[in-house]
Amino acid sequence: MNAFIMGSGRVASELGTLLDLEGHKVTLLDFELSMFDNLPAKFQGRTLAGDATDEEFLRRAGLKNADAFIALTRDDDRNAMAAQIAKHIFGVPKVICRIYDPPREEFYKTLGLEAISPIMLFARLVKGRLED
Amino acid sequence: MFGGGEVAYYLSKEFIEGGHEVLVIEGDPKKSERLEEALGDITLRGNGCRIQCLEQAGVSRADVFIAATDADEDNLAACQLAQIKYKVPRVLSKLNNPRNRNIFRKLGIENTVDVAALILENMKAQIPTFPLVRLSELEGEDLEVVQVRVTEDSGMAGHSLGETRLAFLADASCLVRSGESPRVVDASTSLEEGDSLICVVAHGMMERLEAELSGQPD
Repeated sequence: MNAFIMGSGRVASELGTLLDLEGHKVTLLDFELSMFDNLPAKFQGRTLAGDATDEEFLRRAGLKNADAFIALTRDDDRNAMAAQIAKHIFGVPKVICRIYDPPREEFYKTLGLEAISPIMLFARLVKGRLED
Repeated sequence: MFGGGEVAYYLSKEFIEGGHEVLVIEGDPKKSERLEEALGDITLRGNGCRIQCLEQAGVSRADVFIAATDADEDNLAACQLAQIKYKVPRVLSKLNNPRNRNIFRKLGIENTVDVAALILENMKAQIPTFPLVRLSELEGEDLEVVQVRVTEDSGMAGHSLGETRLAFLADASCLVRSGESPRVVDASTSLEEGDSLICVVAHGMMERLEAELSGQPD
């Protein structure tokens, strides 16, 4: 799989490294290359500096050949915009975005985006454990 | 309105003077205080990309929603919420990055105002060597109003419009010549250096027009 991950935080780094170790082609995108300084040393994938809501940057990064795009920055608005660009402009088959704000997770789902709110995810998980 | 900067200030002022009801959503206390000092109690402290905030603002009652922040991703998110979730009949956005125009269109936000392009066209309008200036876009009609200048190197001066490569402009153009009253053109109108044609052209013709005007004269 050719996966593009937007973000350089812990989830982005962990996911990128997991996919990389499984032999997938991974590209991490964020504003500055220095933002990737904390990546695990074993990560062998590609890192690119630029604005992942910029169509031209994504084109140069080769997004049209991607199998998956995952938006994992801390900013819901940037995640939602980049995910929609990946899905509707580049036609990436699998697009997932993190949306912290639970009501907006719902909204973006109605737009056909695969949105995940970590808050709701964890709340449901804990609730499930309580009910076990 | 979402975003309480300069655009919001002047727009709000005009709306209020026109007897309309205005609410500006702004997160920065300094900006909203400035607005309130000048225009009264018209601001709501918050983030217009947040559902809670939009609900509090009563955005579902709005006739128009304008996103005018300096971040296009915020403008997009707020406009999509206003248009799709709250069914606001008229939604428009300020564009900070001209390249986002196409993205906004494809994601359903048709009406955008490209700030950089506005400045550019305004400057071109004041520099006579530019042969083509976009004056305005007719919203919803897919038409643009442009000014075509008959410059020294345009190869058009001394010819009738019908003889030039821009003969197709004869359908819907007006001739502006210094010292004369403006008049509607036809193919036989002869052109002089310094003339301007104010034309209504289909959006799809802009590329051809640009190519004809940037090409070498015959």
